[in-house]
This record gives sequence, structure tokens and C-alpha cells, in this order.
Amino acid sequence: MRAIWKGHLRFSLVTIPIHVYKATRVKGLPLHLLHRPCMSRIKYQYYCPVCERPVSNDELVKAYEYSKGKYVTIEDEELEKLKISSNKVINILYFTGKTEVSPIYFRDAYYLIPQDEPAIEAFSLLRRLLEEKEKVAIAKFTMHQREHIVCIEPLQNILSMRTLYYADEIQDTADLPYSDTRARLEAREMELASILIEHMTRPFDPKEFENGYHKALSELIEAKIGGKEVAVEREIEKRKVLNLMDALKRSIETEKVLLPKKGVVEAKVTKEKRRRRKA
Amino acid sequence: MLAQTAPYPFDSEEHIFEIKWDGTRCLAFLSKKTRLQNRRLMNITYHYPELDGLYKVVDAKEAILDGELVVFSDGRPNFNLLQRRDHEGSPQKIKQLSKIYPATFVAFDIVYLNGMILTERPLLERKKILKDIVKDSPLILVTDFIKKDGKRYFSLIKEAGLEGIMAKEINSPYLFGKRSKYWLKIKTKGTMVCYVCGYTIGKGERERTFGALLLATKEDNVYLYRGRVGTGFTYERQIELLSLLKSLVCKRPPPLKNFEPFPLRVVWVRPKVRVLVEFREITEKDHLRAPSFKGIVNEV
Repeated sequence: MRAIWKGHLRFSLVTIPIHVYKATRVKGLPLHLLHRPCMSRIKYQYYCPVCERPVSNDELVKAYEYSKGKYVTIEDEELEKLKISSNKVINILYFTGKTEVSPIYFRDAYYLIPQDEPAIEAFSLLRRLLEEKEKVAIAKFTMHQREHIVCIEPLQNILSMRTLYYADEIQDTADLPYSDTRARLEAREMELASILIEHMTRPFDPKEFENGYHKALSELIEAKIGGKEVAVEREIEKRKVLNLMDALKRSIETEKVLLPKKGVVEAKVTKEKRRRRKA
Repeated sequence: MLAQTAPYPFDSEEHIFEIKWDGTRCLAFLSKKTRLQNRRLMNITYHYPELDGLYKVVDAKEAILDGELVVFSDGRPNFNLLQRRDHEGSPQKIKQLSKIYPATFVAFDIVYLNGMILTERPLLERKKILKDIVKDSPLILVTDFIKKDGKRYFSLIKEAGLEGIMAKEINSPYLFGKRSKYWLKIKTKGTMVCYVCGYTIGKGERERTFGALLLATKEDNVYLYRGRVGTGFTYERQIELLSLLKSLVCKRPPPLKNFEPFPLRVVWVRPKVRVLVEFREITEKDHLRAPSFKGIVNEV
């Protein structure tokens, strides 16, 4: 894993040098579009339907559509001015109970670890106290020129950090087409359902689930790439290198140059050898 | 243990000479599993799943081998392919690349075997122990060495198109974490840091980036033109360079000595970005022969 951010975690007068790592990885298998007859990657081209011609990047300007067909343009320099420079600090604003922040607010997950040996003590202290007091830290920090609100909590021997949605990014549940009709709940039904729930309760194990589509696509790709012959390829490459080393040695001894040329396969792996390896 | 640089090859009874492998330096910790660690002490095992079985092809309960991870193509180390392996982070791509461009562990030293620390043993003894425990397998090869004839070996290595040679003192110990004169590296190619003063418009698959970079070095008030470099970059590197250069575009070149115009369109840039290039030799006109891009300097 590689750290994606390096800076300090600040909590009042205490600053702890930390590294931030991504906690998740998206297992995507991006597919590209090729032109079937010649199998080359197709190229996207900007086209102006009014001028009826392709346009280049230099002719473009960003704009916001504030009403149908009406735009205000925004220059790159103007956007540049809105960006915030990072002060390389994750600033803890306050602490709150660990169940206070609804998971609805959680965005991306990160791991925090101390940067170096001297930072371990302060880091462990904070982690331990959060754990004992069952609290999480609410903090502000700037990454990629944007400000984020984050929630930091202990996770095993490190800290985890979630970026949070802003309040106005969360849809109001009152806007849902549903009103509580105060359905009358029968005691017997409640009891039955309760037994059912108890019966179906067990520890959560994320490992038992897998992305079936991803697995199937991945297998399809693997099968197309092949790879069964790779062991043989590598054997051939190794023979070539051994030959080269051998030729170098012999050249030294005999004072004659005996070097094999690039690309010449001197020793082929024989069928017999392949069979032996399979066995 | 790291090597110091020696400018020229030499003959010596006190040294052995071996190929300098162009790859990623790597310590292999072998027990009931394989752990690979790079020069910066990072665990890189998961980058090379094809080497998981390395512990099985070494006849030892526990061993620590020193070597180089190399991707071979055409019987030569291919550093560009290796770099692609090194930089790939996605587990699926790692798996796929491990099949298309599998790496080989080229072993040249052993520092620990079954409870014995071998660092104080003389180099030749360690080499013998290493040779004895490595089984024949495509996963691993033990590098050869020759005695005495460093100069001739160097010229053969150069002819074979390899990166260079290592000269190591026969009786020297292994020194963890040290850059020592017991080990010397002698490269067949020179390197130079140059300013980028322009680029040519690319064609074909280079259409979206650039064809070649125009190189120059600074001499008092003028820049000395050093030629064009058009190889050694990955696509990502080209994109990165282009974004740096785009902000430096200007109408005219800086004062350039030794520049002869050629029939390609050139975009001139202010000479701010510095790159490291490798080259075979310097021509009479002070240009670099067969230059190849190695990296952007400002970032290091």
C-alpha cells in the first residue's frame, strides 16, 4: 500500500505526524472500445453541431446551465481561485459519541497510521482514549484542493477516517412518498417475528460474499489472455540468459567473441521437457 | 548493501566481476513462504505473485537471498517492463501482468541460512553456498561471475547491450544498509541531466502527446543543444511531461548553441523542466548518441 497523503493530525496543542492510506479499492475491470475492423482504440472527438465541425480543446470554455439553454461561462482561472491550498493538517474540531454519526454520512474510508517512531506514542494515546471513552473525532482537512469533514475512530491498532457528506447533500426522509400509517402491530406477530430474527442472527462475515459478475468477467479475461504457456516462455527466456552468461564466460576464456545476438533462441525447451514439468 | 560508482572498468586479482542486472533490487526472505523486500524496505511480495513459490526452489528451511528482480525479454533484462510491474497497484492487473511479463529473481548473494548469519563469511564462500542451495527453476537464476579480467568483461557486456558490470572484492563481508567500496558498479552508458527546451509534435500513437523532447544543457549565458530523446517514456510519463511543458510554451527557443533545424514542427518551451537521460556516448558535435529518457529530475 502507498500513502496518499502525508501531514499532521492536530488535536488542540498536540500534533501527530501521520500518513493517510486508502482503505478501499474499487475492483473495476474497465473495458475499452475498439474499432472492430482494425482493432484500434477509438478516439473521442468534440463536435459542434451548430458550426458543423470538430472543435479543439483551445476553443472550449466551461459553463453552467442555470436554466434550459442558458449558460454562464466560468474561466479556468476563476476556478483556480476557488481552490484551497492545503495546510497539511487534519484539524480535530471536537469529539462526539461513537454512535452519534449516522452511517448515511459516510463517504470514502481511509486508514491513518503514525509517520515515524516518535509519533507512535501520541498516536496510540489518542487511539486508546477514543476506544475507552467510545468517542470519535470530528475533523476538517484539505485534500486535492477541497475541504472535507471527516470522522476519525479507532480501528484495531490504527485509526480509520471517513469523509462525510455535508448536511445539504443528504436527502430529507420527509421528502419520501411514505407516511407512517400507524399500522396496528399484533402482539402475536411481533413475538413470531422476534423469534425469527433471533433465529437468523449470527456474526457478520464480509468474506462470504463475492461479486459474481466481477469474478465471471475476470475469469473470462484470464482465459482469453492465456498464461498456461507462460511457464514455457519464461523457461525459454531463462535459457537465453543462461546462454548469454555462458557465452560471456567462454569469450573471456577463449579471447574470441561468442556472444549470441538479441532475439536468437539458442536453446528451445523441448517437448520432452514440457512434459516433464507437467508431470 | 549498496555499491559505489567506479568511472572505468579495471582488471584485478582481488575482485570478481558480474553482470549488473537492470531491475529492482530485492531481498528474498524464504521460509515456509516468500517475502520480497525492496531497497526502501517495502514489502513488494504482492506485486510478484508468480514468485510466491520461490521458497520451494531453494533448498533451505530459512534463507535470505540478495538479488535483483528482472523481467527478461529477448534474453536481456527489460527495465521498462519491470517498471510497469513495479508500479501496478490493481490486483487484477498484477495477476495479468505476472502472466504476460513474469519476473525472475536473479540471485547474487546470501546473507542468512538455517540459523547461520553469513555476512562475515568472505564473498566467494557465500557465492558457493548460494549456488549449492538454488535448484533449477524458471523462477530463479544465480548470476555468473568471472575473475580478474574486468576490462575485457566490461567490453563484452557493453557489446551485449547490458547495463554494466559489478566489481566485488573476493574476501569482502556483506554490510547491511551500507554503501561500500567493496562493491563497485561500472555502467556502460552515461547519464546526463538536461533541460527540455522544446518538443516535436507526435505522430500515430504519439499524436496525443509528443514525438521527442529537445535537450540542452546550460553553459554560462547560452544553452548547448544535446539532441532529441524519443524513447524510454511510458504513456503516463509522457502525459505528465506534457502537462508540465504546456505551461512553459513560448514563441522562440532560448539562445541555443549547436542547434541545426530539422524538418519537423517544434513547440518551444522555456527551459525549466529537467530530465535525466541515458546515452551511449557524446558525439563530436556534443550531441548525445542513442539517448533514452530515465526520469524527471525536479521531482526527485
